Amino acid sequence: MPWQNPKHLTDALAAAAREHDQQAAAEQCERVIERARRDDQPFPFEQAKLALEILRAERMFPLMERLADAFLQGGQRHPRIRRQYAQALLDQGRISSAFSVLEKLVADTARKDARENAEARGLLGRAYKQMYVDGHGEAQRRGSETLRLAIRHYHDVYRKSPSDYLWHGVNALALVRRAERDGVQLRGLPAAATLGEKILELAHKLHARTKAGDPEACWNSAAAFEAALGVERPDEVRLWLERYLSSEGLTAFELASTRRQLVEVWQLDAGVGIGKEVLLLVETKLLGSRGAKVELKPGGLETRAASLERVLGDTSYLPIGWYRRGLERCARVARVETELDPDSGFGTGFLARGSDFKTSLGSTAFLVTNSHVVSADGVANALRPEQALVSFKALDAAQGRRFKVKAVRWESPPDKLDCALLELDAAVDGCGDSYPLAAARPVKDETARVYIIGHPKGGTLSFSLNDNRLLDYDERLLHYRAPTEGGSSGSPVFNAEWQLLGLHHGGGKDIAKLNKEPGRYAANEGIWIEAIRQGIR
Amino acid sequence: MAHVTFVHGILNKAAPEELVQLWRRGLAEEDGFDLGTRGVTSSMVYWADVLYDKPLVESAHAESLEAAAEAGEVEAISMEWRDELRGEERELVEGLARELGYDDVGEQDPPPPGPQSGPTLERVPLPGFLKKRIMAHLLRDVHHYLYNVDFSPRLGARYLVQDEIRHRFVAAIEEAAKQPGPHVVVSHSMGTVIAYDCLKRVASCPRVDALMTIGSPLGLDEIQDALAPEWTKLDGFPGERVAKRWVNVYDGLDPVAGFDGNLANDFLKGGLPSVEDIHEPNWGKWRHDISKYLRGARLRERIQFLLS
Repeated sequence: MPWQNPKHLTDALAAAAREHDQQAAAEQCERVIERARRDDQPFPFEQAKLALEILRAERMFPLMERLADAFLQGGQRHPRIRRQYAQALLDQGRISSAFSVLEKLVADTARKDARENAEARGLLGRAYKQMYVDGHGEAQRRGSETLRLAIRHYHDVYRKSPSDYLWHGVNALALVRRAERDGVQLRGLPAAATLGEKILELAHKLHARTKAGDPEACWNSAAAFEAALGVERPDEVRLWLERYLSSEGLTAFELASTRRQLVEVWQLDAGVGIGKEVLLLVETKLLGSRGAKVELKPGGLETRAASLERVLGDTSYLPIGWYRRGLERCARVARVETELDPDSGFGTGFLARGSDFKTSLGSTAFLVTNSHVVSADGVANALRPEQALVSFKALDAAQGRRFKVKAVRWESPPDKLDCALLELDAAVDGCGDSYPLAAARPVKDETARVYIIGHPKGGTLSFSLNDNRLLDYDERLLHYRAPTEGGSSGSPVFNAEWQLLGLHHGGGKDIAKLNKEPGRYAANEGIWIEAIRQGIR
Repeated sequence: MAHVTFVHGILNKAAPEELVQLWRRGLAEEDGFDLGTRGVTSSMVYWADVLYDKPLVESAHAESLEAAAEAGEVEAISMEWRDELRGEERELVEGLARELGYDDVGEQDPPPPGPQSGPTLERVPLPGFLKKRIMAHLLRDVHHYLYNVDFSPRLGARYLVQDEIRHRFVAAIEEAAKQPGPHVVVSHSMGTVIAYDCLKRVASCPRVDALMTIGSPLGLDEIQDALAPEWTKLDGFPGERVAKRWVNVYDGLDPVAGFDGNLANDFLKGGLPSVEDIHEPNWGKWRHDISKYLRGARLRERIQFLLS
């Protein structure tokens, strides 16, 4: 049966993307995937391509992979869809799988479809590049050869038609420079300076021909800025970077790719030379994009805030004072770990002054977390207090130190307030003032936002500045769409003024709506801090 | 839940929903406070469409006159209506024009040299044509409101200006009164005249807890005379419908406030001063912008106090 109105999918996806409603996007895709399994007609190419582009721009790679796979299985085997499938694999780090798709695609498009062949070869170059910079397993053993293969794929495409494949040329240049730094010998390639100058010259010509809003203008500026890096011309770097960052329609995905390239391939350091300006500008712009999150490494808090203020001044993309307050909140956030697996986190917690909950608790700082993270009452799967270790990853004064839990002073079970107040074995110095408590909950409208700082997947301390819509609340619970992952349990939930609003405790794809609203939705859930205060009293 | 009702001022504006967001953002940016985040609902008594054809599209300029002026968004309006006025209406407009220095400024006047503006319209560092345009809007808007002019801003729409705007104001206050409160009216420029008029002179208007006027022309004699007999110097405070406080925020170089925004002496309550005048410096070439007033620390502190 022919597909009726496939445009409905892309319209619905685009609408979900505008709202950054990942659940709505996933539901649309699941409908198509289900239908594609049963249907005998391939999904129309143009709409399939567009749907995958939307998912990629939203960085929804697993869904992109599943949808592309469904299109391919349904008979839509256009080279472009195969390439997008490979991109989804690559973006999830599934390099071996991507290789098999791309090598077949290169063979199938040779002498038949020059454009797709070139793009597939470019992706092969990207796969080798990723293997080289990741530097593990077989790739590490064959490091030099992997790098040469990456350069060869990129440069072969570029050299056939430089103005059409500027991007491939820039990647070749970045890797040639990397080879120089790593002492890898190359043969049969122009010198990096020659390559860079040629790319810059082409970029200037292309820039004169494109209009400001054209997608080509964005890519051209990105290529030129990297080429300027390659020939070490700081003024040109700044010029092209500014053009690139002010391009219309620049997505979080593209910015994240740029950042990865700068860090992993160019090896720029945010504290050294041109890296100070370039990385901070790219990262700050990235923070203003949907789907972005901030990751904080130990000891980087003050440096990062100070550098941002120095570089961006009053003309920043974000209000720096607000961002800085968010960074300051990180100092009191801790990762809850276990002795058995101290390198990864079990949950999150944060320090709060006892008297904020009950006057008799005084000025002592307690670690607040979920009772399903640490419990003395034997909550299933929770750590016993003696098993838990607490470390403050963003607190310079506490680096390398793990605190123990002396006692659980109060707790409420997961089906009530899911909260535990932990007394630590020593005072935590230098973590700043206790969080101000939100006096009221935000007005429920489409502008209401929350911000969560935690250790998603038990990893690096991070928070997302975007897509954090507050959906609803009642006298106990807060529902929001802030992106969280496992390990965020016990994170502080803040309002837009960085006042403490709640304690994050979970979420899911199928949560009952609050206030007797009919239906269920995908949401994350926190406990309102006032409900906890009342519970403790 | 606390509520703030905003009332905007002279000149055309962005669409209502956009305008209320701009005011909220104005209070929130640069380390301010966000009403929504604090659980305070807000609404806007929107009246620009009663006197203007269609909303401004470019929101970035919608509440910043300097930006709007640079973008050529202060439209010229006909002042022919002024020639047809008689009696007390003519006295009001001529008196206001005189007090504001409207006729002393020429269309071709260049901006006065130097960064300092002084306490006359001539000293405002904007080109003459722009000052004339802005003051023309003020004269027209005030006159058409106070004298309930039958006005058509566009094809197919016709309003008795005062009746229509009073109706909107009262409806907004009634809606907000459904909430437990506190309820604060925050008005700017011509919006302060509307708020005062309704709270002092419209019997059907519900009570509010507090009133804030910003950059208000209520200190001008001609406007006070037009608000009589309800207004008197000794009992001008709208205590009938303002339960607690009236805070007036002004900049001494705000042209719309007649370069003297102090109201306490002219709106006594039983002969006693009751209006709290707050001097909040505005800045730049046009010291009447609400976007700049809303960034003022003292203004923000007083709004939070009134909501507490």
